[in-house]
Amino acid sequence: MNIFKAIGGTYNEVRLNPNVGTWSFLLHRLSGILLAFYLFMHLIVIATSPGNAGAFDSRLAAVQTRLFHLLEIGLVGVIFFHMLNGLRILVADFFYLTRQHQKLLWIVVIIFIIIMAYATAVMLPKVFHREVTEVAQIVGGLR
Amino acid sequence: MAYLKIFRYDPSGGVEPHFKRYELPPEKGMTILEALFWILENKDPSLAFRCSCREAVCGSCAVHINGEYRLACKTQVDPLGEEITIRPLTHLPIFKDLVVDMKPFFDQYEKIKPYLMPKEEPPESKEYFQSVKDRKKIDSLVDCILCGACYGSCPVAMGDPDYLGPHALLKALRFVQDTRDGAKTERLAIVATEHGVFRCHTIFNCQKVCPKDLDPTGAIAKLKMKSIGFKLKSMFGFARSAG
Ligand code: SF4
Ligand code: FES
Repeated sequence: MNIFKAIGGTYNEVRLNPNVGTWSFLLHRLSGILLAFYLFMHLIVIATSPGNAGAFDSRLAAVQTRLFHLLEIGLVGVIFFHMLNGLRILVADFFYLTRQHQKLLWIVVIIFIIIMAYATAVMLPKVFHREVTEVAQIVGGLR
Repeated sequence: MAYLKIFRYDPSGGVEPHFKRYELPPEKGMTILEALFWILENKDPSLAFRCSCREAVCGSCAVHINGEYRLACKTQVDPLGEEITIRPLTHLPIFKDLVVDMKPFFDQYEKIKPYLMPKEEPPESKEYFQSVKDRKKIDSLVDCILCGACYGSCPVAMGDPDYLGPHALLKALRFVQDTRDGAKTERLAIVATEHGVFRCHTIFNCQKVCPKDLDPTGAIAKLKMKSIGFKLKSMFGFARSAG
């Protein structure tokens, strides 16, 4: 199947089956592809970095930018969505909870929101080149 | 006033795929199937659709109605609002309008050997014995009417034409769980493949659309577990013929 046919077919599936099942499947697939892409890039960056410690550090420093810190929050989102939804499917399959899949999805959504709220609180300051403690001080000062 | 927007296509008659809109007479309790008949008789004798029992038993009239695969004879016009869109089942070649070629669907079904393969001869001039408790194990599974709604709704069937499909897998479990059957190992060998249970991505659409309120996703989940057991056993070389 060529890629255009696959994209067209997927669009059709989503259009004709507007259910939580289709959406969670689609997001699961997309997050899986993104993770595979990330892993690939990650390995390339590490594998092609120079041998000595200083050069390695400067290679890593290249990705310590605001944009990359912002993308890191996205990465956490993609990882946790893929992981939690994968667990939901495993639980449904292994414990015969297929009739409860919508409830399981709500549990996934709630856990996901909690994790993302925490991750954003910890990681967002980095986007603005500040430490969490600094932000805590500022917030404390405002009070 | 309700309008039916029906998918029209006639590959042999040179009619390109398009939607045609028909106005329906206001009639309380009218089903989609009755509406199709009304159009056939009063507006357009060239409209093609399938049906037989008209009471949700034969499974011939499954189509896609307003965002969901349903039986035309079991769906009323009224609750669907003013504009109702009807499409044929997906993942199957279209013969004409709403009529699709069910051959691939039944070919998959045939692959799972949908008939009893008993362990032994029945007792002299009697039927095979099955206790009430054992019969309960296949209770809902025998209700499948092979309408194809689940197959149409399954995104996996889009990507893999060789996928056995929710209908065939549900029926496979029906025979695997039948205590009179003696071919469990053979059946598991058929479904424990990459085009069988392991292709299922647990998307739940089949469960959502089944007009008989069956749970093909759950049936496949059960078969998955049995298939894992079967695979492990055959890997370590102690597969038994039946069990
Ligand atoms: S499992 Fe349900 S949807 Fe699928 S063919 Fe049987 S009756 Fe139709
Ligand atoms: S006509 Fe038989 S199921 Fe609808």
